[in-house]
Amino acid sequence: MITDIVVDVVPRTDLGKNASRRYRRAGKVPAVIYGAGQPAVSVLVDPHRVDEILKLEAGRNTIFSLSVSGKSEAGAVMIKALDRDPVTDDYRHVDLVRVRLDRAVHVKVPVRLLGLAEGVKNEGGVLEFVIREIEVECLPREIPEHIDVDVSGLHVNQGIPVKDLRLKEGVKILGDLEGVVVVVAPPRAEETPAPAEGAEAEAAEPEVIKKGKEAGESEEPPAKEKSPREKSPKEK
Amino acid sequence: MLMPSKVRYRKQQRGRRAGKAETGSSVSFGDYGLKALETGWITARQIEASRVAMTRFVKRGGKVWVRIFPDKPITKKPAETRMGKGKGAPEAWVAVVKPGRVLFEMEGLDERTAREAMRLAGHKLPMKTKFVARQG
Repeated sequence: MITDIVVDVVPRTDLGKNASRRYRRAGKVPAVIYGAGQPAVSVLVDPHRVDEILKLEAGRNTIFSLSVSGKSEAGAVMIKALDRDPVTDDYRHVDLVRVRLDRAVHVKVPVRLLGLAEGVKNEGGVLEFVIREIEVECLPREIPEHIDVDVSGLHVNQGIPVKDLRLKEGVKILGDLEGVVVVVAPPRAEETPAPAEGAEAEAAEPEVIKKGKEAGESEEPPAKEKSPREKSPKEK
Repeated sequence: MLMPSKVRYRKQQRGRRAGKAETGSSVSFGDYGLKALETGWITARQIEASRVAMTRFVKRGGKVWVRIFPDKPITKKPAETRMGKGKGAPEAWVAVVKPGRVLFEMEGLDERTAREAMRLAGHKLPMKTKFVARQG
């Protein structure tokens, strides 16, 4: 989706992890702009602006413009990659890619399920959403916000393969067409009572994989196992 | 309970647990997940207790993924034993968990049910956890 959003970015000259950490502490996110045959530019971006873009319907596939130090940069960009902190979920780095509006791009489009499956409503099945994003090739103007899939007619053990998805003209699916997007799995069997947790269960140990060739077929006799004390430091 | 079927060595050293989880830190299979906020070892028994707590609360429907596997053997010396005479016998299997690691995931449930199931599961674990949802 092409929007008229303009995001302010500031070029950064201090690179590397120390400088990047200082920027993050100051509430800015290091980012890089690349693509379209132009040199890469390191910039700083406001995380709230990134949040605003990601909350739009098109999410990551939103195409927007940049204003570098107050001067608007020609051309559109989109978010290519996001690095987040695994604990706090704060942005650590953003990759922005320049998009040429006359050239096809490869993007991942989310699949949206419509309706409640018959197999879930009446037959006790569980809806398994297997493929949540489909990679497509299309012009930037034609990137769909999402791919709608109507699951209301699905019974237990029925699914919808990728090849049955309906897309508008000019949008081509990449990857495996035989994959299943969504399937209604049969109801889960009642949980079987766990075996008594006793010494027997605890004592079970996994098999230890033996080193070297098997059945003594090796040319050299198997090396005699040394105790840890006999091992010289060089062997470690 | 979960444990490896084959191992190269019966006993391991304890290892280090510095840093955050880089892989396995986002919800990848289901709609909701339980994320670890601290470092620790989770035993096979604790994983099983959490899984049972979740599935019992949900009763029917829904699917659960366990995103961690206890592949590290922990040894222990018998009680009232003098030091020395070698390393103790394998006692348990643990998964090494770093902050940010998604431990369990669920699908096919509304958020309220999933949140409660994850809360119950989190109480079986030796670390702080938080409920997370898939990012769009």
